[in-house]
Amino acid sequence: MIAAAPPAVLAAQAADAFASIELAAPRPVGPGDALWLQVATGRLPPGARLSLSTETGQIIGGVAPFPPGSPTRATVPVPATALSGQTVRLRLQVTEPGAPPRAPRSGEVSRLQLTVISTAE
Amino acid sequence: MSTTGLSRRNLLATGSAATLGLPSAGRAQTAAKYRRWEITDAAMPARVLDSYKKGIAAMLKLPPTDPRNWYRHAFIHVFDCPHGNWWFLPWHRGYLGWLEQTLRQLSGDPQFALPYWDWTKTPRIPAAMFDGVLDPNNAAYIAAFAAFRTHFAPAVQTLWGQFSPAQRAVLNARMIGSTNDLWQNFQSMFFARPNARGLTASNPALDPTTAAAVSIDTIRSALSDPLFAGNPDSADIGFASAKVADHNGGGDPSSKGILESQPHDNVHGAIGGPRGQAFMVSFLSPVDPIFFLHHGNLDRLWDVWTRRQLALHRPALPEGSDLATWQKEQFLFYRDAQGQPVSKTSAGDYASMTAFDYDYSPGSGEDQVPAAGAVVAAAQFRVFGAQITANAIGPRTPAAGTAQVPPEGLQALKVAQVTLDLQPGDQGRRFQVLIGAGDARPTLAGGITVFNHHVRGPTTFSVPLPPGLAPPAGQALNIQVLPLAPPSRAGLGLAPQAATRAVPLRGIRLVTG
Repeated sequence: MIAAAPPAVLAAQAADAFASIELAAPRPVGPGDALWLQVATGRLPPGARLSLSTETGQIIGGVAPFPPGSPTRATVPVPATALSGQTVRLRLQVTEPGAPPRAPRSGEVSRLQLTVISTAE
Repeated sequence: MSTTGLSRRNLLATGSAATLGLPSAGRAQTAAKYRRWEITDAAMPARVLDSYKKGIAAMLKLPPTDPRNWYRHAFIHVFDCPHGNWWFLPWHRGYLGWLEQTLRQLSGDPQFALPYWDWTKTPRIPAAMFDGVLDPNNAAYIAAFAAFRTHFAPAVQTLWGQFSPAQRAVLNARMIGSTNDLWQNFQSMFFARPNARGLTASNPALDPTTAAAVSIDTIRSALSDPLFAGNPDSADIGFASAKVADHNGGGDPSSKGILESQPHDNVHGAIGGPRGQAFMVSFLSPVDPIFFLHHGNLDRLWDVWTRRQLALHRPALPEGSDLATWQKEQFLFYRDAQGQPVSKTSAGDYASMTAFDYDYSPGSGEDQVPAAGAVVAAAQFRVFGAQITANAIGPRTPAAGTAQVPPEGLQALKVAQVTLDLQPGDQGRRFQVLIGAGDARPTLAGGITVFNHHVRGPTTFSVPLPPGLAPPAGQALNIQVLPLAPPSRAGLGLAPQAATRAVPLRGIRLVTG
C-alpha cells in the first residue's frame, strides 16, 4: 500500500500498468517556489526502477536505487505544468528486467510527499 | 578616474565569499593547470582519449597486488563510497582526482585530465566510449567471475590482512566482516563479458525516464536548491543529499537530493541496459570507464552550484557546527599515483577543485550561475580607480592606494575590488582591507581569504565597504591591504604553512551600487 501525504487518492489494480496518485501541495505555490516530490521506496527487485509521469504521460523522473534494490529516498522535481489548482496527479510505474511495466506492489513505495521549496534569488 | 561598467573577469566575491574562504563567485575563473573536457566537445584534444585508453590499459595489466590495478582501484568504491548523504560529492571528487593522477603517470601524458560526459547535452553513451578499453566488454578485461576470483584471491587475502583497524571498522559498517563477505559482494557485483555494459554502440541511448532525469529542466531544479544538505526528513534534503552521522550511512536512511537521485542514480541504472545487469548498476561500477565521465559531470555541476550559491550570496558548504562535522569525516582507502595511501583523508580536503588543480570546459547548467553580475549588466554602477602607493603586501607590511571620490559617489560606495597577483603557494593566505581618510583611524572593511578554484595570476576580490564614509572635502580615501597570519584550520584545502612571499597588488577600485 502506498502511504502518501493527504489528501491522496491511489488507484491501481494488480494487473494495471501503472498506479495513479493525487497529491496536494502543502501550501500555495508562488513565483520563486519549486514543487518537489520526495519518494521513499522499499525493496525493489534487482534492476527494477520506479518511473514517475504526469497524467498526460510526460515523464518527470525516476527512482533507480543505487545500489540496486536498496530502500532509498529520492527527490523528483515536479514541473509547474503538472499542477492543477493545488494538486498534482501522477502515474507511478515499475520497470524490471524481463517483465512488462507494472504498477508498484505493496511495500515498493512507502512514502510520497509533495514539498514546496523557495528557490527565489 | 571614474568609469562605468566592469569586465566579466572581475569576480564578485563579496561578503561571505571573501571572508569565509569560499571559492570565487561568478562565471569567470582563472585558468587551472588541467582542463577536464566534455567528451563530445570538438575542442577536446585527441590526446585526452588516447591517454585515457593508454592509462587504463596500463592499469589493467598491473598485477593484482598493485593497488593501482584497474580492478583494485574499483575495490575502493566497494569499500568506502558514500551514497545518499552529504559526503557523496566530496568522496567522489577525491576518488576521481587520485585516479586522474595515476592515469597521468601511467599514460605518460603529463597534461592528462579526465574527460566528462554532459548527458544533458548528449543523452546517450558517446560513441568514443565503445572504442578499445573504454568499453568494459573489451578483451583486455577479465571475461567472467571465476577467472576474476582465481586471479585476485591471493591479493585480496593479503589486502585483508593489511587493513587498519579504522579501515576494518568502515568495512564492518558495510557488512563486510571477512574475505568471504567480500567475495560474496564481488560475485553479486561482477558482470561477465559481453554484458559488462548494458548499453551498446548500436543502442547507446538513455531510456526515457533517465532522459528526463538528465534533462535541463531537472538539472536547473537541482541547481536551484538553496541548501547544501538538509536533514533526512526535512522538506529540502539539499543539493548534496542529506546530513547523516557517518559516510557509511550508520543506520540513517539514504536520502538523496535531486542531483543524486535523478541524474546520478538513473544514469547508473540506465547503463545496466534493458536487462539491468551490468557493472554500472553495482558498487563495482568503476570497472566501466564511463563511470568517471559520469561522475565528472556531477562534480562539474557541484562546481556550477557552488559558484551560483556564492553569486547569490548564499552558503556553499554546511554552516556552523555542521561544517566541522562535514569536513573531518575520514576517507581512508584512496591511493596515489605511486599506489601509496594519500595524506588528504578528510572530506574537507575535497571541498574545492583546488585539491587537484583542474577546471571544466563549460557544460549544461552553466547558465544558472548569475553573471558576475548584476554588476556587469548595470551601467549605472560607477567605478573609482585608486592610485597605488604601495604595490606589494609583505609578511608584515601593507599594500595601499588612494582614491578620490566625489561626495555623490561616497554615498553610494558599496564594494572595494582588490586585485592581487597570486601564485599557488598563496592558497590560504588572509588579508584585511582597511579604509579611511586623512589621519583618522581607518575602518575595517572586510577580509580576504585566498581560496579560489585556481590560485594563479591576477585575481580580484570584492570587499563590502562600510556605510558613511565621509572624508573631509577634497581628501582622498586611503585603502590598505594588510597581511593576516595564515589559518591554522585544516580541511578546506588551505596551505598549512605560512606564506612569506610579497603579494603584488595590481589594483584597487571602489564601486558604487
